[in-house]
Amino acid sequence: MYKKISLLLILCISFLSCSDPIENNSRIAFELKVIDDANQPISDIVVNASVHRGAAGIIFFPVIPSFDGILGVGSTNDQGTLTLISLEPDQTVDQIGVLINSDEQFSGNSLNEDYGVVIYQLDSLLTKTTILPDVVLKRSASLEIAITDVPTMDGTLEYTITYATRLQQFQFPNGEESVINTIEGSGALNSSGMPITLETLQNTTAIFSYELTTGGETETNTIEIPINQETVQYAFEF
Amino acid sequence: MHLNFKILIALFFCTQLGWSQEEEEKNTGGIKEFELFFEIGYAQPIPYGDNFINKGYDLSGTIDVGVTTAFFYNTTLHSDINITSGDVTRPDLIGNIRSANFTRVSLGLGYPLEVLDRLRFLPSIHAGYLKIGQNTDNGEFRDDGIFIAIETALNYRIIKWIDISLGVRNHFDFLSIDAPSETGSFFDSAQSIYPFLGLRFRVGK
Repeated sequence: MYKKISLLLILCISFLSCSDPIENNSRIAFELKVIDDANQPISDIVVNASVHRGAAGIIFFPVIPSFDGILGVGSTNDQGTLTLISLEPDQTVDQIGVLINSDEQFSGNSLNEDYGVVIYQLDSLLTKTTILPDVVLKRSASLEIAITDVPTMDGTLEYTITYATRLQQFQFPNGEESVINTIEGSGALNSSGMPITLETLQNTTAIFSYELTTGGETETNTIEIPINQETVQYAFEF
Repeated sequence: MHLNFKILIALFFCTQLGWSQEEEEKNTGGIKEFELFFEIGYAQPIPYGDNFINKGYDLSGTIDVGVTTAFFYNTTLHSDINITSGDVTRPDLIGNIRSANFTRVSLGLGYPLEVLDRLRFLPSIHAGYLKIGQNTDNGEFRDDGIFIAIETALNYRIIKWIDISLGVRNHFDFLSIDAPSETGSFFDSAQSIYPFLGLRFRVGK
């Protein structure tokens, strides 16, 4: 008898905790403007309001699928502005993201490949309308790096390359930015000798730092690689 | 045609019908017997105006089911339910919704006026509850509110227990949606016309 009651209770609680994550009778809005590095408006940029809810659960039933959903869609007009109307997520949502030029919360894949992606992350909503800062959408760029081990030269190489990813994330309203990626390695970058291509953004700077050890002596250096055009090539030999 | 002139013609028409009805009631003794009709009809919603239902959805046709009684003199009491589905055409205006079901439950009062021997003109006013069940890729939620409606219908008696109905109902919806102030009345109210064609079955007298 007790088992039946317990099972019934657990089923009831499970049912309650599976409620849909969207508020009834409610809409919210995000206002924003998308501009380029030259302060010119960019039109037809797709903007999505997305939510993420971490895995939830109850005792004995710990895994209920997390929720990643798009609640609002829109695109910028000729002035680069947009009032994005969105459904309102309920209180169980961990994060709300306004995705500019993307439809995936945790991805840097651009819908318009000429530009990068900007995501504003919000932990909560304070008002029905959230006015976001102007979004500077940088142009996409590729950094082609070749690090070649020349047989006639001695030495071992340790290096790091730090560059801006195509995904720029900002916490709103604090403005904390997380935009860089770092790769580390040693020796030749690619065994085939071909350069590797890193997806980055124009008007940023990549940093190439290395330690070259030759005959017991170590040389360290840091080289700044300005990304000022669509494709930037850099070659290093040791 | 100017709106005031239209209203004047409509009032004149109703008054004429009312007078002829009064004469008829004097001739027949006035009080009619209790009548009960079961109604079923097809309606095609036509939203209009600058509101989220008109701008955001493509509404499909609907079956309307109801019951009407004549209970006090000729006064009629109506109750009906109507479910319409609609696909969302502009998620950028209303939120990322895929489709919706519009359920209307209403009560109404009317007064039939005899135009010809078998033909009745039945104006009525209705009030009810509107629930919009919204379907998204991420779950379901609800928008709801109340509505009032004005209906005019012509009922033609085909045989003793069947009438055919042709009419139009104009809905004025008042939603409970809490939306950003920038949207104005876009989510607050909506209007739609439902032209309908149906059958009325006399099931009790």
